[in-house]
Amino acid sequence: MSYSKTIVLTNYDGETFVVDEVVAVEPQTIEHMIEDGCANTSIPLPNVTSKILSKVIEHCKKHVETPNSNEKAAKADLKSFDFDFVKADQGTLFDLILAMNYLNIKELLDLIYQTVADMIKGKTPEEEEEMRRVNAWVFSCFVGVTCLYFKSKKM
Amino acid sequence: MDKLPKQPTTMEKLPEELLSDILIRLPAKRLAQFRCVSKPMNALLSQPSFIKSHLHRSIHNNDEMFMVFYSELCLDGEIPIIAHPSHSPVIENPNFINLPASLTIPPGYTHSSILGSLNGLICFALWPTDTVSDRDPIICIWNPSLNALRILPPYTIPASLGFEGIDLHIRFGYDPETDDYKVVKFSRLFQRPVTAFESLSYFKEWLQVEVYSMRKGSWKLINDRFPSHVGWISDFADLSIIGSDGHDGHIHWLCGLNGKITKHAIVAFDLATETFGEIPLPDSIPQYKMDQTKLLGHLSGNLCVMSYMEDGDIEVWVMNEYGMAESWVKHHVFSQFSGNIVPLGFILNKEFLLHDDKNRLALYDQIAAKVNSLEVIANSRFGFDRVKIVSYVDSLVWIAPAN
Repeated sequence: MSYSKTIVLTNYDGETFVVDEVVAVEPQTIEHMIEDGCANTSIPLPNVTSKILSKVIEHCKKHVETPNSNEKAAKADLKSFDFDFVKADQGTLFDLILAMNYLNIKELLDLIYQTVADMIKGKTPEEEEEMRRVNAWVFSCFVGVTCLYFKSKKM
Repeated sequence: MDKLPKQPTTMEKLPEELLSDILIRLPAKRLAQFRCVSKPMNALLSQPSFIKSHLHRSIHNNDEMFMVFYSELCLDGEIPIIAHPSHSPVIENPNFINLPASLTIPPGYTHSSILGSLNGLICFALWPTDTVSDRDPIICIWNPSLNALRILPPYTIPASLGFEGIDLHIRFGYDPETDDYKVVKFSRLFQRPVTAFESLSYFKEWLQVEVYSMRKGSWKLINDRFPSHVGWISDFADLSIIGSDGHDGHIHWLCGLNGKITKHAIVAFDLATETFGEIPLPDSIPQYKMDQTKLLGHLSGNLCVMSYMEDGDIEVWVMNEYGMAESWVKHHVFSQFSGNIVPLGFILNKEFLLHDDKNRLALYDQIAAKVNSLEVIANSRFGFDRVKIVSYVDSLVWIAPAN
């Protein structure tokens, strides 16, 4: 597999990331866009901040670079990478959930869900009260992060 | 494009389906608290589909446990109900559930018994003191995780004509067709007080069967009767494991039929059609022997029976096609091990629970073919009753009665 081709990703803040194609196609959403030929110049990822996008790219790189073998050491290494990867605050994890869901990277979602659930489980009532206050629970604004933007671009 | 700095994402900004994926991993007790947080949260957590997925995940994620009642339900709460997680059954969790605070025990009621446990609901009965014969047992359905308790209304046919004088059977089951939980109650009277040895011939016929629907919130008398040729029923009074034989909308009883040579059969109650049927036991299991024990249960969703003879092999038979007598298959045979090991029955949908020679509970490891003792005492710690064991899974299941 050659690393010759690169893909340009543009994020929420307008920053661009140049990524090897093999890394960029790790997320299914991007792979489909490339297949559909609508990513010849730059792929816009309007929902993703640079912090999250670099984390996602870091994740994809690691998973592409780790040899796809049944070797125990490689598997364990990837696992410990994933565990370190989800060591983040709740806000970051929520952003990651949105980004991973949007980019269709399913394998890590399970681990992130569990991490957030464990965080909630481990919270004391005081902390929960604080979380309740901060979040204010306005559910009317369920922001469905859909592919609307992409769809309008494609059409 | 809008270049406003992005606000930190909070939980409520997650789309509902992603939020469900997180919440589904939380215990029901915690989710019950979350319901108080906001109306949309309450709506999401009360969706039948969410409740089902939560239950499903708990079951398939090996979050089930078994509960040990050392003194039935100890009504003064002094003897805790001990939970053992299925993935590490040695762990004792005595405070996992507590008796509902809203349960006030009426005067004259002194003891209780577990009638079943299904999808996070525990059904139990409060019994009046033996000397008080003008009161009926009170039946309750309880979700310990939600701290929800339903005290069932009185039934039509009294069960209180003196305990020596009545043979009463109450069971709890789930009907997937109507997504309803039902209590089935039937009884028969003794003709006159008799000794245990001659009791079989002195029963009168079975009285009409009553079924309580949790969804309807009421009892009704049904037309079908319990098979009249049944002489005795092995039920919650005789068994250690309660309610493990409910299966796919049916309740099962292991019965002895009337006749000169006692024959055994399984009587099934279909909770959807509310009718009784009979299922024969595997032909090669001895029909009746003094030292034989038979136990019903289910393994991976199939009805099964365990048969063992004192000092003999323990055989486990599985009915692969429900109701088809020819589909009985001998699933497992294990011989008595060193020491006295007594099978108690099936638990957690796949395990065999045993009583080892050191008075401990034990699970049989089917792959390694050995008994793993659990350091859990298998007798009542207080000597007067057999310990009762149920499978339990933490769930949000609750049905409010129709108005």
